[in-house]
Amino acid sequence: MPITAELIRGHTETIILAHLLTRDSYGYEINKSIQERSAGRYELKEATLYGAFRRLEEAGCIQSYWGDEQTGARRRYYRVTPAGREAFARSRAEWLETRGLIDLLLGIEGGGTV
Amino acid sequence: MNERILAHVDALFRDAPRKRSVSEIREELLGNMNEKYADLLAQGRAPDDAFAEVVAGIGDIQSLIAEVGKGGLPGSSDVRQKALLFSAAGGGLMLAGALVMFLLLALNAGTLATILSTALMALGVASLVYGSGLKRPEPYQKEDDSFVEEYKEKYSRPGRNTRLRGAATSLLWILIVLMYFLISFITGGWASTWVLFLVGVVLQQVVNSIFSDTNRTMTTGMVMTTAVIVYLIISFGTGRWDITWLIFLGAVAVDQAVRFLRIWREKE
Repeated sequence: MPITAELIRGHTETIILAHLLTRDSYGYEINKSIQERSAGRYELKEATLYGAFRRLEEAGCIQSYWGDEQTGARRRYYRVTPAGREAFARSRAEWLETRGLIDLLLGIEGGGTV
Repeated sequence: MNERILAHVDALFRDAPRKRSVSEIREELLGNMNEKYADLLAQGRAPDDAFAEVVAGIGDIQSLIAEVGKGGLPGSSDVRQKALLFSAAGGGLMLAGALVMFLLLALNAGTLATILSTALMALGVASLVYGSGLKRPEPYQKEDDSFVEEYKEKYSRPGRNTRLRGAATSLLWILIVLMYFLISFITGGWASTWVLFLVGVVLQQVVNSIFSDTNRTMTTGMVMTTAVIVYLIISFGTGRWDITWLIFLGAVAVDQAVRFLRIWREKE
């Protein structure tokens, strides 16, 4: 469903922040978790993922560091900063408000309650 | 590390700017692709199938590379190569010009030597100038309308003056070389015509001062121009070419004195 994908794309940064709030993580792990949580219906392209990392890092929402893996290639990990937590809380509240409003406008049961 | 994935990623980054931020993206991409590939194999997927899926998951990496590499000094590598080619060709042509001159002079073909070697050297200079122009970094593109971005864009752009100065400089030296050979062959005065190159250096200062925004090079240019004029007038008037060159030493001293005076005044 390309329209759904388009709609989700606007929330890529918030989705990444949500994952990083549970623990520090790296690209593939985040993408795998997105895939699993969406039951295989949504997956980010690598380029989209790194673009979002870069924007988040420039905005001071996350910090990256290279792990010291004993086997295989080293991984680039990301950790969320206090500013990132704030940004996530804001985006989450915005989404809940938007969802409530759209539910109301579309006449969906339970719309408008946050 | 899967060799096919490595080869694919290397191809994607072949023309990428050599920057740390870009090479980090490459390493991150390689690591994640390899891990995904290993996962897919562990799920029982065929290697070809797994490779295809991993590659399909990359997305538009070129835009990302362009974005991350933006603002870097070296242009894309093919522009760098082109610049190198023109610089090498320029050097080669100038060398060829010198060789042709000596060869034809040895054969007593003076006029031909002048025309051919001057043409070759002119081509060489033009190629060198063009090559060095290519190496100039792309001006910074502002990301938004904030004043910081505007400042960055303004100061990364080579000014109109800089480009005009480059054009005038190459023209000047082509003319100097041309005149040097012409005058030398016609008058046979090889013993003194090399002075033309000194005149060239002085004229270069004048060019710099005309296309400059700072006062410093402006005064240097004015002092040197005056020196040349005074030198020529006094020398032709008195015929004392053996000592009039001292005027240039005097001019350098005056220029330095003016510079010290300015620094001293700014300190006050």
